[in-house]
Amino acid sequence: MTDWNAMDDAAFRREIRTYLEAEYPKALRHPSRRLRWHEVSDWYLKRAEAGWTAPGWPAEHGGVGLSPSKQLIFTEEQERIGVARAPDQGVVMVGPLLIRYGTPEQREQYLPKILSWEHIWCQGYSEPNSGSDLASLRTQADDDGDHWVVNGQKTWTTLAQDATHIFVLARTDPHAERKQKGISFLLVDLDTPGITIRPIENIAGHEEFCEVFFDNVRVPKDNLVGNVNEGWTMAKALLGFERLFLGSPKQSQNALGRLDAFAEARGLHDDPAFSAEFTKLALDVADLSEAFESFAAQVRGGETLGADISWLKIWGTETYGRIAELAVQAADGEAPLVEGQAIGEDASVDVLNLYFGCLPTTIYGGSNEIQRNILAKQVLRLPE
Amino acid sequence: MSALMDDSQDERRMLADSVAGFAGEGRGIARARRLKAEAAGLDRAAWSEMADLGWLGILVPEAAGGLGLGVGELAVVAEGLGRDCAPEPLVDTVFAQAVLAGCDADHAGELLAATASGERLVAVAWQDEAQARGQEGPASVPADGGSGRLTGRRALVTPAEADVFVVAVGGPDGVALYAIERDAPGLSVETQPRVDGHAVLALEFDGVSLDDARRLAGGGAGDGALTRGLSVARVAASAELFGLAGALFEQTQDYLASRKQFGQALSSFQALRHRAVDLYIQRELMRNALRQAVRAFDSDADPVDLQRAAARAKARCSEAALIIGRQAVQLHGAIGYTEEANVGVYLRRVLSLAAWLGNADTQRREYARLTRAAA
Ligand SMILES: Cc1cc2nc3c(=O)[nH]c(=O)nc-3n(C[C@H](O)[C@H](O)[C@H](O)COP(=O)(O)OP(=O)(O)OC[C@H]3O[C@@H](n4cnc5c(N)ncnc54)[C@H](O)[C@@H]3O)c2cc1C
Repeated sequence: MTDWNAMDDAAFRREIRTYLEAEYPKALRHPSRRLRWHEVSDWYLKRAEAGWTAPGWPAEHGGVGLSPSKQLIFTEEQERIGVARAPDQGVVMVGPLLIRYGTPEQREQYLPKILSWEHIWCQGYSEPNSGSDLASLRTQADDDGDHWVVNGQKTWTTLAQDATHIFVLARTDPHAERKQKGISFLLVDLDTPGITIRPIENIAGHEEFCEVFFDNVRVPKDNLVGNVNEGWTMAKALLGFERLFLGSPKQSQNALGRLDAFAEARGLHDDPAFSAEFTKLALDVADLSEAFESFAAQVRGGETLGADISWLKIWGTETYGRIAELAVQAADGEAPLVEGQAIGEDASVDVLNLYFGCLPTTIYGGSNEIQRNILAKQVLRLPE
Repeated sequence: MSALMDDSQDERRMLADSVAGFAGEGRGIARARRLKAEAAGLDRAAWSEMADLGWLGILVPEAAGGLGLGVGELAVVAEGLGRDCAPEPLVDTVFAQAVLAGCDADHAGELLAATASGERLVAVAWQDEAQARGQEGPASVPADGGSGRLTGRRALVTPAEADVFVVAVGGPDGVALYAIERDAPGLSVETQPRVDGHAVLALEFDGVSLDDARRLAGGGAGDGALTRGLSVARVAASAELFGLAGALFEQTQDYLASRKQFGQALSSFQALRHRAVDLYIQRELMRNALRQAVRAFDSDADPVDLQRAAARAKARCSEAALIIGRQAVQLHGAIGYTEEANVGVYLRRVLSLAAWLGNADTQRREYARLTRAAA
């Protein structure tokens, strides 16, 4: 077997790039929306056969065992070519969780099926009344001997309609003195009686997230991960260097590229007012990229990212937003046209796509307001 | 932590320590206040102390009596002086030195050595009023019309105490540079006070002779020297702005934490916490823009890339420092609007440096022009 970690970074990058360029379907590059499982499954199943579902997991659990710095390169190369995301919560969350806190039986039962995509997981955290204040969640799991009985509702659950399983944060001790205590982490098969999934149409007209209802859903006790009432701490402990990618410059770079193509086709760069705005954004993206590289260098050097990484998410997503706004202004009267804007014989841009694309980025992954709260408290240490 | 160092750069770390030692507790801002209140001009004692520390020759080759260091080290010193609000015209001097270093005439080298020791002060006179207003590209400078005599004006020349000027003169072969003494016949010098307490000069040339003895670099060679000088000076000014803004930010952070209203610290109000974070982000952006510029110099990038990197740094640092300075006043309330508060002294220096050598808008236009030309 190849020892990828022993390879030098440049050679590894070349290898990955060549592989993706050759193998990853052109039609699926830089998709304009979150793709459904049936649209990306060919690609991911092929990768699974090659043993590349989980680059970051340790080899003993069926992963590739890449070091953080090699994982970074792998992710960067995927972003570069615009690989569509899979419904990857199993790889990103459940696997690492079970590897760290699960029982041998749980690992044996779930890890291989995550790697083969037989199980597809979705994330059941948010509820109608618990978003940013997630710890206030009310989905209840009651002790019934060898089962937990779950009642409540999850929402905004991305691609639940494509999933076979959901991991749920549920309240197991309603009397705990702090709301963060008394929450447990449950693994739930979506075929269990009492579960209803209802897709929600988003602002762009796509069904990318769902509501998930739990009505007396019986979950075997074996499906609780770690200790009872410690789900919150475990969920938080799993946030690793992946946070870096919430502030990735890729979306902004792509958006700026689209806007540039549009401006070029329409002669907008000759308009001093537009050119001034555009250049400002180009520099915002350039400084974002520089900052991303500097955080990435920390990861490469084996450091753990600090709370200051939050500023990258704020700046990255808000820069993306400003680019989308300028694109909408630049398209002028054509902006609301659903078919996009022609920029020559057979090319077009779609400013609505940029616009709707930027909107959720400041909401999910910890909203930008929440990121500001974190920075004020943990980085600036401003007294409350 | 500075923008400009990683762990391998002990030299820069030592330099940063020595700047912090020189600055001491508020010595720089005390000089800045005196400069403004008494229109005292350059503090010669501080200047010769800086000469003794070697900073006036930081970029000057060792053979010419300097330290022979690079733009990265220069940026460390400029940042440290900015943090202390020190008003000395180090960056102005470095600008002149970087131009002189690109000149081939013998007396360019002599002048360079004299500036490194602090014996002479040199200023670059490179633009007329129209260019200073950003109406023309920075590389074109008013021509002499081939007469061998210069008639015309040069604007916004600093430092005001300069005793010799490096004057850019346009011609058919490009820019030539001449050293013209302050007391040269045909030159009159007008002084215009600037908000930080310094003055800038407007020079009026009336048939001043451009003889060979005065020539530093001939038509064409001057372009490269001036361009490089501008790039170096823009990065150095950016570093000083970074230091100023960093101090302004920290003063504001401390004030928010200590000042109480409605029975609680200002920093308990979320609107202000979030604004503090936005200012923090502006400062981090400055750090990153500056880092890429220093890296461009460290890696000896080609002149156009240096120009672009410098324009990018100066655009970001000019804009962000003004944002931070303005908000520092706002978040201090009325005390921030007084002479007594430090933030005002810092803001006046920020206003001066942000405008100097091209403000954010001008530098973004420059960046766009260079980018399009390269494409
Ligand atoms: C596209 C998309 C996909 C998602 N996928 C999933 C998923 O798969 N699984 C899942 O569990 N969740 C998912 N979410 C939900 C996401 O985690 C939440 O939207 C997020 O936590 C915010 O919660 P909320 O939407 O209830 O907004 P709220 O918390 O109600 O916030 C509303 C507004 O108030 C602000 N606000 C809230 N609290 C504060 C405060 N203390 N200070 C200042 N401002 C505040 C917020 O920033 C926001 O602007 C998804 C969301 C989106 C948009």
